[in-house]
Amino acid sequence: MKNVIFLLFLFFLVHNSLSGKETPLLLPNITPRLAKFLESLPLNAQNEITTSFKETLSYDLIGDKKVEAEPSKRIIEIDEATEAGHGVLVFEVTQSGSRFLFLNDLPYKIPLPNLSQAEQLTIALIFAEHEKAIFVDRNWGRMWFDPPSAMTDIQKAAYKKLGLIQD
Amino acid sequence: MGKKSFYSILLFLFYISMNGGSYPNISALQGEALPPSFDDLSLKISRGNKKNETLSSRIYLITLNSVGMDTGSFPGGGIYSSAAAVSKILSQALEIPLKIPYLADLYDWLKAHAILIKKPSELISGDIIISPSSKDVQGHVGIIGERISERPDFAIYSNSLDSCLFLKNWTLSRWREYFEKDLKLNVYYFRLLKPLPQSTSNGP
Repeated sequence: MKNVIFLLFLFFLVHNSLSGKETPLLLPNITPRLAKFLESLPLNAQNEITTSFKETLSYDLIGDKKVEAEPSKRIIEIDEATEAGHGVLVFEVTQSGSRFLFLNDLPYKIPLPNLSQAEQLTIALIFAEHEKAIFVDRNWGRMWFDPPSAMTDIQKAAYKKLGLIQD
Repeated sequence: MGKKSFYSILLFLFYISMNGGSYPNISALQGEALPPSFDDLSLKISRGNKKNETLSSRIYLITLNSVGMDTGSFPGGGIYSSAAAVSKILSQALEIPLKIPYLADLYDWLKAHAILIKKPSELISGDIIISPSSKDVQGHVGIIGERISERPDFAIYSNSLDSCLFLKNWTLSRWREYFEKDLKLNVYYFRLLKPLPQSTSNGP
């Protein structure tokens, strides 16, 4: 009898680990919004993303969006807060897993030349939507130190698409 | 009272009246140097402006003038704006339209246009302290302020994410403790020595 119970216990243990139903390793410094979002991702993607996280920093979801030209691919942006400032971690998620792309103060200057135009626009759009939501009453045309502007082409494209600036 | 005593008292009273009715500064008599007030400093720098003013002292003065600056209208909305805030001050000091909203770009610009200071003991007010971001940890940049101890330690002025204002919000010792020790980021110090030619002013 004891052996049967032991074998059943072993079976459930192995079954759970293989079915991928266990909860991901979520650090206490992740906001509930980000935790909930990460749970919606495949386990391997969750693990790949959370390996970039540091215990002493805190993380929040900025947004995610499908790449228009490649609907199987998503871009995810996560805010990383230190005691001094914030940065944006950018990930790509596909059916096979996720990939860390880059960290920047602002994700408009994209340091990866191999990303497609559609991927770059998706990265810029996610952050522009975030800005639009949190920075109300902003003069979007002037915020980049007036002309000559420091705005990148990809940011301009995202702002135009959201109607924040005109041609 | 003799004539001598009378004239001594008269001289003493005259001295007091010429000094605004106050006795000599007691703390000065005790040998304790008071920190210069902002007005004193402005006056000192503006007096030496034409001949002896260094770019670092000019950066420091503009930094002091910029305390409380609202960084909310900068790229990054005051939240992602540490490089933009320092870039704005350097822009004013150099009188060029320097616009560098990215920390990595500001670090590259400093490497190209400023000299690297190797030891904290060689720092002066107006130098720039920067911890560039690593692959996945965000760094920070600020301006070295006044010396606050002989260790040496300095006040540091930088963007404050809590208030989205440019403030005196770090010290050199705390910066090194946090960025170097806790976050494992590098800490670099730079000094700008002379105004740059216009052709190098636009940043990356």
